[in-house]
Amino acid sequence: MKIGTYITLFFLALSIISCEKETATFATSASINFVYPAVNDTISLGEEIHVEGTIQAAEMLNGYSLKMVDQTTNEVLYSAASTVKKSAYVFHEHWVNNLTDTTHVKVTVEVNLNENGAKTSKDVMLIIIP
Amino acid sequence: MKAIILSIILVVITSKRAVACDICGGVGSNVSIGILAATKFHTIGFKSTYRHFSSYLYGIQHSNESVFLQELRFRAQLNKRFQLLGSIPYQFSFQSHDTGNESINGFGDPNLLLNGILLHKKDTNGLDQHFLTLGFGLKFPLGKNIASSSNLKNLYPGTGSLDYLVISTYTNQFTSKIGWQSELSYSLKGTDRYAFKYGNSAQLNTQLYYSKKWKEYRLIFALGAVFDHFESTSIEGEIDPVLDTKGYVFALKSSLNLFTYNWLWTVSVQQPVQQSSRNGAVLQHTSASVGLNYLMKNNKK
Repeated sequence: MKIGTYITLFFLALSIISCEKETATFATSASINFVYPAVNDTISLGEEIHVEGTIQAAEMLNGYSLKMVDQTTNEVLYSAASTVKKSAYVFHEHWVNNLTDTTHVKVTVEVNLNENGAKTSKDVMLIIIP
Repeated sequence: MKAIILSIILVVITSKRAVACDICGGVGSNVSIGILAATKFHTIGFKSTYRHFSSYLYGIQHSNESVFLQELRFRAQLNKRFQLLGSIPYQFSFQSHDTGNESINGFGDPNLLLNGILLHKKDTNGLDQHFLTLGFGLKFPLGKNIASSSNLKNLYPGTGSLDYLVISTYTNQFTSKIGWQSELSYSLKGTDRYAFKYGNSAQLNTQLYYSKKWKEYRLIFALGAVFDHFESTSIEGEIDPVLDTKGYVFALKSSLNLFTYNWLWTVSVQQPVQQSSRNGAVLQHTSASVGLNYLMKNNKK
């Protein structure tokens, strides 16, 4: 067999391998664990809200989103999202509090369990003081 | 008692910060002269290095870091006893994490090193047999840097501190083709304007080389190992017991050097085989570099 034939076969095999679609099994549940903040933490003006924790599942997850929402105005103060498919994530976000009135802020982490819209979430409530 | 223990745990937990990559950026490398310490040429050249890291938090990978370091380097043979070496770095750093990407680029900290030749023994044929040097240098805080409160501090090209460098090289030429070269260097890190200090670092670099004439060129192939040790970082002299940045990387190293008439081409690859940094929170992967130096004949005897 000529060297050209080997090269052609190599690239043919490579293209077949490359085209093979990875079939992921999605999780049916996920464990969301907040390390920060603690429930009902009080945050002053100019102080940083530090959100950190883990998301873990036995199978593949379809990304997650993180939001900090002012409960008085429903304004989304901060948001971040991931569309990376993984079975475990670490979330780690910061937002400097610029609210001047006493209010509650809800921190929500929402996990996309699969591509069909199934979700699970966990909240932590914070108290903002001027 | 429970309340005291709980308070201590809470203090420890709340002091924990996540720093992206402790051994990368402007921090990682000690000064290195390279395998051709004994050549008599003045050189001016360019070196491009690619390094790649993964960072973990709670045992879960949360980011990848890529660091491209470009260096303009020179070496001047001042006289029979002294060499002056220096480099000006420019760095591109990238971090990709689950929720986005970051990039930082800019000039790093330039360094200047005065290298004294302590021993230069030749055999009866005029071939170098033993070559021993000791050098002292400074790394100037002129590069782009940021306060330690930034999670991306380590991706910045500069450390913000004046560092003192010491390096010794020894070359032993066994035959006209085979030799052994070792470098031992230590970097005494200074404190930046935010009272932050990277840990001092030491590097041992040892390699066997084989030299072969090829047409009108010369090829030098080297194979060896590099051991890097990093001490803990500190703020106002205090080492954070949770954020323990102490660590080491042991890597195998291989390089290929090609001498043409006025040029020296170098390709080098480094593969970590054993490492520990922040208790496994940062992993260094394969790194590679390419270099090109213009050689100028030294007319001084």
